[in-house]
Formats: sequence, structure tokens, C-alpha cells
Amino acid sequence: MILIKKITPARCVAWLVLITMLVVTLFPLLFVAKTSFVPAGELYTTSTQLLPDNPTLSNYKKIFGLLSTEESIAAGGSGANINITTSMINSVIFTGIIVIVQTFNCALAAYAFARIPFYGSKLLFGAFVASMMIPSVVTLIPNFVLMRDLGLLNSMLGMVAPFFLMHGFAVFFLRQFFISLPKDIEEAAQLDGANSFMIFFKIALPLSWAPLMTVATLTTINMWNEFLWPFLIATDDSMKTLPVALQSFKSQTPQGQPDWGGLMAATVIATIPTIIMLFFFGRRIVESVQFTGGK
Amino acid sequence: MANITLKNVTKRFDKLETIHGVNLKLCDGEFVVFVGPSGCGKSTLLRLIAGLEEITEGVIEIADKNMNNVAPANRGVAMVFQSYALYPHMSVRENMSFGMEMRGESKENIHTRITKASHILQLDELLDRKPRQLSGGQRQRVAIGRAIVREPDVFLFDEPLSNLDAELRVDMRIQIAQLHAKLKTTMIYVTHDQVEAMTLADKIVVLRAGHIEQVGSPMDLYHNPNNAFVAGFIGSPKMNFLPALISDIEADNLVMVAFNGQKIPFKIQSDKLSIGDPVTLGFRPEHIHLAKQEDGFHFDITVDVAEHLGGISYLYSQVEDNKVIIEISGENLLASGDVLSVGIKQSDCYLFDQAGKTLIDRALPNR
Repeated sequence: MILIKKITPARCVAWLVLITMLVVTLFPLLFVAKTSFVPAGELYTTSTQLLPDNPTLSNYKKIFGLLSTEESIAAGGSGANINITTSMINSVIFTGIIVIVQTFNCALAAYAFARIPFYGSKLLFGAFVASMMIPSVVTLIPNFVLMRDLGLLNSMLGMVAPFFLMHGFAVFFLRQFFISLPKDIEEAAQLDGANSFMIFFKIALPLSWAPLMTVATLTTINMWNEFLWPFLIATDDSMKTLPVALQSFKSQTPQGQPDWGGLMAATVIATIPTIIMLFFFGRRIVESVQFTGGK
Repeated sequence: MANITLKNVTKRFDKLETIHGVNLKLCDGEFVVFVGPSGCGKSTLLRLIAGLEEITEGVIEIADKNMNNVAPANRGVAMVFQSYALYPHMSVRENMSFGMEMRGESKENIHTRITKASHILQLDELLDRKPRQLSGGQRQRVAIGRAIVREPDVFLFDEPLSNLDAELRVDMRIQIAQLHAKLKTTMIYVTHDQVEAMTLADKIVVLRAGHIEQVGSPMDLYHNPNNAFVAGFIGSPKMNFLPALISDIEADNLVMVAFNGQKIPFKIQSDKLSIGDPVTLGFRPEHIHLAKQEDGFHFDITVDVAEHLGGISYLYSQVEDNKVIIEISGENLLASGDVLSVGIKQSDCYLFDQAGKTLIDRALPNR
């Protein structure tokens, strides 16, 4: 009886729309995964199937360097190479440094804006918020020139430098949270002899675990997928991050004849961390999107 | 010796002055209650003493030392907040030890003090729990425990019982009184509940709009209020006020006060009154008798509402558009619509001039 009452036409339409959107979103991912297991010879003959006839791991072996160039070509590859292990390590270092340092810096700035009154605080905070409206492509050339003049091209420091200081959204997001922390708790700590830094580290930060994780999750996803800046700065193969290595792998083959199997296998590997993040922290990401009103 | 002296203490938030040149001296070991209606500045005054707000003008001295530029942690005060303000991510033990760790106390000392305080407040079983696992009363005890382990010169309580239910409130009130008796430390307690003020205080400071209206012992304030505001604020239910007139002035400041066609003599402290001047007659609900009194006023009332609480009953009525509350024994089961003749003894009456200032000096009852 209760079940019947719950099934309304509006609910049916909502479910239908959601399922359609889910299929539209997941289908390309499924196709990527399927293609990564298809032998090169069957790429076009099985293109209308959801599952491969003769699944193979040769595409994965290829991108992890487990096949020689000859074996790779014999397996239907184009002979293009991708050093996915090095790229993966680079991506982890690149993302890790930025996530840790940027989240910490943003929390410091946000706490100062929320709790420490100083001259020009509102103006400075306004500048931080306004920075969200500046497209990153606008700052690309000045940043590049600066990194070149500092001699930081082809270095990890050059790659992370424009990101790890601050991010307008993270400062704004965390400031709102710090403002909502009960002031009594901080005053109690003040009476207990804690100074501003101690209150930040011992009281405010431990109480901000959830918003910090939200910021860190969003930053991780954004930085893991960041392409343009690492592409400009890291020209050396040993410095390439995964998105850059994928692009490089694709561009090594003549147009129209890329190694689709290898490319899809590398894409699957590159997507796995993001999927894991979404699996564990999806709710936080949704909350942050709700907070910003859609990002 | 933790005497506290406030000299001309003023607090302004931007251009808004909330505390207006307050002067106050509190003695070592006293239990002082700041009482007054919402917005009167009692919590602000407490926060100024704690150092959580900077004073705009004046001097605050604790133990005869100027504290104006001393950090809250170095003033020798500990504060219990209305919201408890426990650190949610720390256990009860960590909450209590945090301040001592900040000051670099030895682990043995921390352990000894926590054991002692938790024993006093019966927190021994709760030391490893987080605040969210505690009831309101337990949280408040932890907040008090956190203050005790600091061994401060002065305890500051900012409406500590207002989040508790009525029964627990009475319980905690008694515990705080016992704590004061045991520790004999100066305590300043902010409340808007005059029952808490009367039951706990050695000295009550009544505040209104950033000014001190009167300072005195609970009995002093009850029997000898300086003005109609204090008279109305101290005592529950509050004092009844009715308009009267000076009908005659005799020698030695003896005046005749006319009310409801009756004239009763009062010895007043002012020589500035004239015949025909309006005055306010005050009398407490518990001093009204259900019979005419030989040496006092009497008048008839119609009961609007009767509240029977068992041991006592309250009757609500109107006399010439002025609300009158009468407290009677619970054995009298009067009901709304009943017409009564009530009387008040002259010695139970209070008299205030037009500005609300008291006109008579009343003797305190003997012990």
C-alpha cells in the first residue's frame, strides 16, 4: 500500500530522466573500458558490441612496457610508446603536492579572513573571490614567462607553483565554515592559553575535517585532470603527467590511425583514481557543488 | 587575594556605548552575581573582566594588578560558558588537560588535578567520553571541571545553567553553591534569573542598560531596593506597583499617602515632595493578605486568573489598569471571577517617587 502511494507520475518521470542521464554519462566510459580489452584486429568489427568477443590484456601490457615495439606492432599497435608508470608517479606527486599545500594554505587564509580582523581584510577577501572569475587561460602566458625567467621550466616546482599557494573557491568555502564555528570554543581555548596559531591547529583544523576533505577531493580531481599547464611546462618525457602523456601518446601516431586500444587502456588507468575518489568522497563533492550553487 | 576592582570601566562597540563608566569592588572569596534583563551589559562586563573584550576606558584590576593589557590566559581567571564551549573532538580528559598542556604543566600534575576535579564533580566514569556522548548536565560539569583544574583566582560563569531543564538547573545550582563553599574562590556569575541570583550570591550587582543600579546582599536588595527597577527585578513573582498621591506633609518628613480613599503615614527620606505629588506604592505578592489590615491599605479585586501550584496559588487581577499578582496559601482554592477584599500592612509597603527612586528606608529582618 505504502509502495503504491509512493509511485507517482512525477516520480516516474524523475527516475526516467535520471536513468537516461546515467546511461548517457556512463556509456562513453563503458565504451572506453570495452575498447581497452579489444584486440587491434577486432576494433572495428566489434564496434557495435557492448562486450569484446576475444578480450585481451595486450593493450595494458603494451602501455606498461611489457611488450617490445615489434610485439606491440604485431598486436596491432602503432609502435607509439607511453611511459605510464612514470607519468602516473608524476601525476601523483603533482596532485599530492598541490592538494596538501594548497588546502593548508587556503585553510590558513580562510581562518584569517574569518577570525582575525585586520586592515583591508574585506578588500583582500573580495580580491580572492573575484579571482574565481578570471579564466585560467588568461594567466597562462604571464605564468609561463615568470616560470621561464625563474628557470623553472621542466621542473616539478614550476609545474606546481601557480596552484599551490591559494585558490579563491577553497578560501571562500573554508572561510564560510570557519565563520560558522562557535566562537565560544575558540574563546575557551584563548582562556586556556592558546594563541591564534594554536587555536587554528588544535581547535579549528580538527573541527574542519569534513570541509577540508571536500576541498581536498575537489582539488585532487581538478589537478589529476589538469592538462594545459603541465603540457606547457613539462616538455621532457620524464616530467609528463598522465593527461600530457596520453596526449603525447595519441599524437605520436598519424592522424586517423591512433593506437585506440593502447590509448583506451591508458585512459582507463588514468581514470581509476578519480573513480576511487568519487566512490569514497562523492557525497562531499555533491555537498560542495550544492554549496557553490553548481560548479 | 583576588579582589577585583573596576574603575570607570566603559565599553564602546564602534559608536555604541554598552557599559557606561562602571565602578565596582569585589572582595576575595565572594560569590558575586551580575543580574539584569537581556541587553543590560552583564555578559559584556564579564567578558571585559575575562579579557575576551578590550575595555574602551577605565581600569580593571585583579588582585590589585592592572589587567587592561594582560592576555585572558594570564589573568588568573577561568570561565564557564553558557554553551559549555567544550572541544567537541577531545575527550573529557583532554578537554580538562588542554589548558594545562598549553601552559606546559607536567603530566603528573595534570593527572593529579584532573583526578581531583573529576572526583569533586563525579566525572571519573566519563573521562574517556567525547562531549557528544554526555548529557547537558554532564557537559556543564565538565565545563566546570575544566575551570577547576586551572586553579584560577576567579571563576567566571556566563549563564551556565540556562540550557538545562528546570530540575537539573536546581541540582546544578546547589552543586555550584557547594563548590564555592569548598573552594572559597572569588566567583562572578551572570544570570537573568533572579532566583539564581538570590540563592547563590553573597553580593548581587543589578545592572540596567550598562549602568549599575544597586550592589548589595540578596536580602538587602529584597528589603531595601534603591529604586522601582531593582524592586521589580528582585523577587518572584515581581513586586506590584500602584499609583498613589502625597495628601499631606507633616514634620520630620512624615507624609500621608493617599490610595483608594485611604491615607496612611510614611516616614520618607526626601524633603523635596509637595502635597499632590504622585508616588508609586509597591508591595510584594507574598505580602498581600486576604483580609483588611488595621495599619495598612485595603482594596477589592476580582480574580482574572488563578494558578494553583499546590503549596501556593497565584491570583492575577487588575487594579485601575495596573496588573496585581497575589500569592496565597494553596489551601485557598479561589477561582477566576471571585471578588476579594485584600489588605497590605504599612510596614510591607515600598514607596517610590516619580523617577522611581525609593522614598523609605526599611529595616532588614533580624536573623
